[in-house]
Amino acid sequence: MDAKARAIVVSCLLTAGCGADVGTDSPGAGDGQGATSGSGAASGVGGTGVGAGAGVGGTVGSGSASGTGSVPGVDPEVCVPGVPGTSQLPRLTGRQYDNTIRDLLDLDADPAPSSMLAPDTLGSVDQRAWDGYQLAAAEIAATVIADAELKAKVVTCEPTGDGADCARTIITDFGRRAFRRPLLEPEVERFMKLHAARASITENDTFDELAQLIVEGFLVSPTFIMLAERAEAPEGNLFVLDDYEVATRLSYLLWASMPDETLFAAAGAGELSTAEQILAQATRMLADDKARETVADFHAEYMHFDVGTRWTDISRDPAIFPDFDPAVVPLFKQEILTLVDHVVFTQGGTFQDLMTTPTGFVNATLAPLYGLNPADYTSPDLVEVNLTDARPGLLTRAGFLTSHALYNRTSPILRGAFIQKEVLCTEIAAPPPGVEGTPLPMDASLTTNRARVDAQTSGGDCVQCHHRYINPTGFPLESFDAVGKFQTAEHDTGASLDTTSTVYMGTDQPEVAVTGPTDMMASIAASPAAQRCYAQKWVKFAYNRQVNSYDSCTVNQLSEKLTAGGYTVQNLITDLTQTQSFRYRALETEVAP
Amino acid sequence: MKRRLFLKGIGGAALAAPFLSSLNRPAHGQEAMDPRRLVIFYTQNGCLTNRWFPTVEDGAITPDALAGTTLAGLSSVADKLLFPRGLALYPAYFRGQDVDPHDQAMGSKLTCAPIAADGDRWAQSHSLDHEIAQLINPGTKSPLVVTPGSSFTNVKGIVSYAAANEPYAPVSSPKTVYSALTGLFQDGAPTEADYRVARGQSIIDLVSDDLNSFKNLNMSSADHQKIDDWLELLFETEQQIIPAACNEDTAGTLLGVNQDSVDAATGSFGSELEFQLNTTGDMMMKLIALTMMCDANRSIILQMPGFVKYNFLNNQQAADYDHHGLSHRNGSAAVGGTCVSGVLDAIAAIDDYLAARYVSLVTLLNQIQEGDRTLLDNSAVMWLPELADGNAHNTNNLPIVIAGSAGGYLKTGASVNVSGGNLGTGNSEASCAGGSDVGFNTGSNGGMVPLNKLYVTLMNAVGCKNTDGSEITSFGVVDTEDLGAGITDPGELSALRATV
Repeated sequence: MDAKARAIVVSCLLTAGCGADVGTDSPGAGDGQGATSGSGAASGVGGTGVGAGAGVGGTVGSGSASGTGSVPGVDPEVCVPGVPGTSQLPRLTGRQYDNTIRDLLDLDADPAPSSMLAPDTLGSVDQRAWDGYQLAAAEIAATVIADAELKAKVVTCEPTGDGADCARTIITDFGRRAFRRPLLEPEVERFMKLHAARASITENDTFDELAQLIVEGFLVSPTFIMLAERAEAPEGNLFVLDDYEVATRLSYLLWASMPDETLFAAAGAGELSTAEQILAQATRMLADDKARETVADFHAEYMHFDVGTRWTDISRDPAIFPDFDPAVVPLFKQEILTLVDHVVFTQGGTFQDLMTTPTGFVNATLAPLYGLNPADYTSPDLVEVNLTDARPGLLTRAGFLTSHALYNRTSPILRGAFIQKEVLCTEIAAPPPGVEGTPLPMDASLTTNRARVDAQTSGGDCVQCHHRYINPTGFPLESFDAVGKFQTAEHDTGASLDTTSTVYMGTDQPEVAVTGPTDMMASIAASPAAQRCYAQKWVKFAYNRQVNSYDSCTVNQLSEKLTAGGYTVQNLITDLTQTQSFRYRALETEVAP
Repeated sequence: MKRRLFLKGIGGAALAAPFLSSLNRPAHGQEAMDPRRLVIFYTQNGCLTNRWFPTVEDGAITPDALAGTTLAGLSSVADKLLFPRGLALYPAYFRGQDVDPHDQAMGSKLTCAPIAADGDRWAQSHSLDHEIAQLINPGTKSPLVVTPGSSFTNVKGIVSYAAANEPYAPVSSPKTVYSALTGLFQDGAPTEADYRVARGQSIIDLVSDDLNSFKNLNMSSADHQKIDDWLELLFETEQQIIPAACNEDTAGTLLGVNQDSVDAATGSFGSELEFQLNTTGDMMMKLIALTMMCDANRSIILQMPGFVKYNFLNNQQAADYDHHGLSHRNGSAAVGGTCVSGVLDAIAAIDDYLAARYVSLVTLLNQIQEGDRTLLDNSAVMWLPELADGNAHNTNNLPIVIAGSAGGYLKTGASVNVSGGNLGTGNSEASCAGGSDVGFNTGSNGGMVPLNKLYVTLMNAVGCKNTDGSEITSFGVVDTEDLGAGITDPGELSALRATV
């Protein structure tokens, strides 16, 4: 199967595709570099995770990487059982930092504390990053001690005498939560030096100043900034994580934040050592609102909501779409995330449900896009409606259809390329140089956008990718115009639309004949390629790394369960905590810089 | 020689700052010379090249040569300008790689290296600003890379690279930049008794102790390196020697920079673009000046955003379409198609605005005396564009201007054609002048001398040396279309040197 997957990719690459608007020439064009651009992840996979090796046309099926950097196990398609070597010193990402500050200090700061930090990067802390950590630590500590309510959560004792006992209490209690494990005795003594030096390192020699310095000292400590894994109990070639490290992995996977007291208690009692114990905690944690945020964050990434993608700076020709207001874009995103939350948490739904659900969420602004009367929706809040089978799943919602359209018309190319590349994980190369300017033929004989796009991409090398993979996947969505409204005729010619198509559904799978969006979304929901793609993206998101061949085994297992059916998104998430690589670590593979 | 900083007041009278004595220059050797710096003002999406270039292609630059051009605002400093003419980027789109014209121009521009064809498309080597920071910075070995407002963190928004596949995104918060500088401030004559000194030392001790506790762990060498680099960073901070002019009073008096003004200039996510570019942008420029006064960094980039709608320029098209779409003349990410009505005026309005920002930066740095010169004179402040013409996406015959001579190294008041022949100013208005369809003839011919050679010249100008003390002769990975050929034409552009 893997060999065959490769073959497809190669044939498409050698002849290359093209297309006027599958622009690589745009912010975060449809091939995904926009949304997931590398600065997001803090947990390092070493120097070269970055896709270079997931090589096209390389050593097929050998399991070792092709392309640059012969790192074992970078091929995300080939399952090699084992635990990937990763950095044991990943730093908090900006998102994790914000959530951790919120939970550690009960501080919901606006703007978010991470606005003081350097952008997320891998590798060493540099001057810029260090400056950011110091600034954030100082500002946060000052804010907390200046606020009686916030201070009371940290300074939990009344200082008496020289205040040493209370200082020790703060260091021990706050320190345990900041370091996500009980402090070692030398660490307590390290912070107690602040107490000893209090008179010379504070302006007025007060206990509050000392408390502030203790908080700042913890926030600027590498052990707080990094999710360090130090346990060195060997098991074969691997190291077994200790229970506090497991608690930390659990909380950052499910909540993108620090453990709560229940998790700390479980770790302290040695109750996070077996898969069953971990599953019980994961299930409990999934019911917390913090997990809903994580699920929303994942799907925001899945849909490419990020700054600099197709969802940024949307404009429409006012002559054709007089009612379109770009200010609706945040609402588009909210609509989709509300739907995701509903399917995953309220319905306990599956990936298949996400792709096919007729449930929608509208208010007066969105109602007209779905053919509903805005007068029926008086609240600005989104309310649940049944949009019927004509609007199956996430990809028929106004936001996706609008963001993946052009100024004055739909774009079957953008829609089709997104679905192929991001939903089915089909590898399609960038178009060859120069072809992006291929004009859209406007001959009178071409009465629909579909016909024009087909003609536009019928020349030379374009056909290979466009006529088999990209365009046919976009054509069924011609049912929806460039602002996501249902349409049956071309706006400028009045010609009726053809939404039938034959859609590529991945290697080893038959192409599927569909009559329109309802058919196509049902096929995508049932497609093993789309299921694997979804599982693969979850693994990448949850483990914060480019998927490698060790992870590929996990992806395979999750995909099989997805294909079997009845496997909820919640099941999938908790299963991410059940892998061997969740409880063990291997030393990072050495990679030439 | 004493290093003096003061601000020229209106009418030319100099306002002396109150700290002209007690300069703490390092004691090692002949460091009497004031620091030299490279500042890059970076813009995206090209410009109307035919309006941008001065009317003199090879010869003296006077205010007359700038009259009527986009750069007319630089007339008062015409004698401090250098136009290196006839330069091109390698590798470039169609010249060595065919991935994407913007990704290529962003990734290769300061690295002179290929970009990864797949995945995130990051550049495959480090950039000029990092090389210079490594070689001449007194403290940190990283450059200062800032942007007003938010920036993309994908390949289309990154111009600085710490190493292959290691993008170095710009800092967008003035607070962060300022905070790093206040850490360096000299408060009168600090004594060991000053609690702030002892406090800072206590924190550094905590952090070093924590880092040292990792050293004995069984970690990969990559992880060990992270710990060592962090410790090294603490050490550098302690070792840095700070000019006396770097203090809170001077920042306030000369620049109006203090915690309140910095806070007021720091937007939150989603601030209006006008606020970001003007208010935050002004503050970033002042912080660049302060960075120079503190000698905290000698390698600096001020990066302007590329994918925004200029909704405050009194031009409807500039408000309706983003800069990138306008540069394509059709208002969208596609190329070709129909010209947006009035598109050339819209691009001109943006060009004029960006030129005015560059003028602001140059003017500010030229107002602050440093020794016998100004901060500008001791620097090379280069406007470097992503592209020449945004529709043609070409990177030959690049419009580049450098203000300041880097302490007398560079020729000034001159345009120097290093390529020979007649370069011209490009054909940016070849289509769309009267509506109609977008043509692909808006680029330039000629001007193919590798940009690498300019970079080598600039490295020597700011005082970079090889480890054996010899002059720099090459920069980058390639300087032709042949990605395997390496550097084929080493050496600097001697025609750009003042002494030749």
